[in-house]
Amino acid sequence: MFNFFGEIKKDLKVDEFHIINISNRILYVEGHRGIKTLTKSLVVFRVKNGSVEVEGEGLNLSELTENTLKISGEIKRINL
Amino acid sequence: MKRLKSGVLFKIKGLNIEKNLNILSKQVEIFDIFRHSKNLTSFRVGATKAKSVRKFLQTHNYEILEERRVGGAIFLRVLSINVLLPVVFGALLIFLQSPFILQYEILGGENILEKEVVEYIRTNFPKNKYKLNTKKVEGALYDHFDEISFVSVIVRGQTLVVNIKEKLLPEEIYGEFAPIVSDYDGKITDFELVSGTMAVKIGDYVRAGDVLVYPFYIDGGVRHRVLAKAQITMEIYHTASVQHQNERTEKVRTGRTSERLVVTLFNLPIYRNEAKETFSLYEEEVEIKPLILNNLLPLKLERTTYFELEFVKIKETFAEAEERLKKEAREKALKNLTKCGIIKDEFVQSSETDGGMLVSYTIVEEIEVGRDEN
Repeated sequence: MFNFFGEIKKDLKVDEFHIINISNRILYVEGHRGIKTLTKSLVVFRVKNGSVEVEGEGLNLSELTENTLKISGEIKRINL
Repeated sequence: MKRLKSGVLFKIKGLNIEKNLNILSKQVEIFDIFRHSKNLTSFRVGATKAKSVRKFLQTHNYEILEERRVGGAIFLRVLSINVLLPVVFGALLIFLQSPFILQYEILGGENILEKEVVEYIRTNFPKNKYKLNTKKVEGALYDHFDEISFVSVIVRGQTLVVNIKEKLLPEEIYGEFAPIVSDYDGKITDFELVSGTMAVKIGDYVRAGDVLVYPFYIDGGVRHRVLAKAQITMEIYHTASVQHQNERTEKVRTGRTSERLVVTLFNLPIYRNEAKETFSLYEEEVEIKPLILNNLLPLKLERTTYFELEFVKIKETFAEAEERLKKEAREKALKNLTKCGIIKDEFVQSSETDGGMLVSYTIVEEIEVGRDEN
């Protein structure tokens, strides 16, 4: 699957994760390494050298592939 | 604390997994979601929720490729990092430290500073308890500190315990370091050495003036001065003799008496009645008694009775005199007893001499000698 940041990373030779937060409603992640926890108020996923916690209300997993994911809902805090 | 990763792992095959995971997450907590490919996903749920999750997946037409319990191995790994590793490390530390003395315990020192003793041992002796010779420490402490009369050193675990007994008597007395010497002739029957070196053994006959305990001990070829102390029990023999004579002269009372009376007041004679008869050979008995039973007027009567004596020749065979002679000899022997001895045995012997028969009475007394002040 084509992804925008994946192409840029290839050009820049950067192999890390990217998180895009759109209006605290959608969180798009590239380069995740699996979801650790999935609940309606907390989603934790692994990235290179650590994990990211997403806190909010009514969190949904909208998309999940091998290396991308999309979380929708009311995002209140992101702990990197 | 790190959360233990135990539970049930599901590996499923099917599409549109996001939607169903969202539905499932309303009911149970889902962990470790991995999407391996477009239609292959794995996740983990708690062990108690496995049944309902399985039912949910079957309802939504997912193929369960794998369902297994996880967490035991991880638990062990966590345990090995958090518990076993410190235990092993601690054991290793104890093993490495165990040969060394880490603590010093000084007992019994009142005038000697504990710090001085510890500092002296630390400076002069190794910390490795296997290389430490406690006998040498004892000797060195004894020589270095004048106040010490007795010292013992032991290693208990990683602690060096020093037990000190300080001198209680003035230094002048200790400076003498006199041996214990027998005051009597006798036989050693028992002894308990406290300090010093015994010069005799049980069964030895000693004479007055013989050394019983030397004021030193020898350790490793080195002579150490020490107060001679021991509890020694010995038998001493008291013998007294009385010679029998077939004919002897004795003074006996004839039966004639004479009396002298004196009344005194405050010890001054106020009335005197002299004896009517005087004898050339006599013995007297004096009796003093108060005339009035109060102290206001201390009048006293002093009555002196004179008994006339005469010499009489008495002939007595040994058989007749034997019991009397034994009694006399015993009384003479008893006068020689010490104040705190115990009579263990007594026996009598009669032997013929040039002057007649000789009766010897022997009393065996058991006494304790030695110093036991401390």
